[in-house]
Amino acid sequence: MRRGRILNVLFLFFLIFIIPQTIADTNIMSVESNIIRGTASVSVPDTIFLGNVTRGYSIRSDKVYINNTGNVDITVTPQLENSSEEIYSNLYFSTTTTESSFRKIGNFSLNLSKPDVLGGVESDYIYIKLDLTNYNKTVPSDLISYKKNIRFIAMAR
Amino acid sequence: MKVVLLTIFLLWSMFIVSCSEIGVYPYELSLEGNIDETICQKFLISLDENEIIKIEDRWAEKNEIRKELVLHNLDASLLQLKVDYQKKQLVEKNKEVQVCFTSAKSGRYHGAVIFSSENSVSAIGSWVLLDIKGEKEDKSKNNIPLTGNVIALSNSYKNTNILIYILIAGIILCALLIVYLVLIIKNRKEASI
Repeated sequence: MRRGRILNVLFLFFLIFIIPQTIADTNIMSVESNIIRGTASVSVPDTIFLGNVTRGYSIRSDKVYINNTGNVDITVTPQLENSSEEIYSNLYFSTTTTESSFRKIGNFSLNLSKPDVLGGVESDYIYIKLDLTNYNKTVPSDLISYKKNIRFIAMAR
Repeated sequence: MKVVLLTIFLLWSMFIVSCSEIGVYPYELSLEGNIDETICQKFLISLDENEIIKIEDRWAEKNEIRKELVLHNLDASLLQLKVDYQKKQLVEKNKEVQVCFTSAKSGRYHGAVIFSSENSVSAIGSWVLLDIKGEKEDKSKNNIPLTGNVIALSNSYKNTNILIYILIAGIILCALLIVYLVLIIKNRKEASI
């Protein structure tokens, strides 16, 4: 009878202390860190001012800065909002001022690496040229702003 | 006077150049599905101010998966793809935008979903790779048959180590219970004798 009680006590002891301890030991140490999700982000001037131009002439912008504000390498491609646009299809882009380096809209893209520091900005610049030297039609109005006519589309590389 | 004012305005506009920032997450994704199965994905759009954004999608030729925007000039309908989204949306700095894809044919389709700010020249895009298998969607396949003895594990609960430990603890507990019962029976027998 006494042996039975001892066994009961031992069993309860096992049940209360040993098993929960065994289960508790299964807890795996967790390593915590803040993993920031990869985001593609770009910043472009709202308006690009080229100045006044008419047919038979061309005009080139100052440096237009494009910023990679995300955390992934991107390619920025300028494209026409309306592909049938006649005047703006004469836009040319280049990373230098050398005349031969200018590429027509649709054939130019700019690669921007991700910023060196998380949350930083990687910038590069381009030159934009509107070349109406061979444009034969009448220019309907002054060309002041290219807003809404071209778009700089950034895509992850 | 007008010339002076115009010159001042032009100089002012040259020096004070505002920039618009637009971001997207995820910037690329790969989706798998079956013919006629609708696959939806949420994109998180972030802007530096509240704006209306326009959404569009463009696709490359079937099985063309190079990440070059110039190759992506096809309309989804030409590839028998259906892409559903609200074309214009107001984004108050951050917004989740849902885009759903359905394909009537199997194959690999590479596309770009482009989000552009209505009031600026900046736009951001996300590459989408759709891998459509040559089977019609069979919804019954997705159901996990459950019986009283089966525990269907959700994707978030995959820590097999914990399961193994719980199993071992359970076995030990059962063994102890059996020993305990045997001993009780033995004790009772001894007591009755």
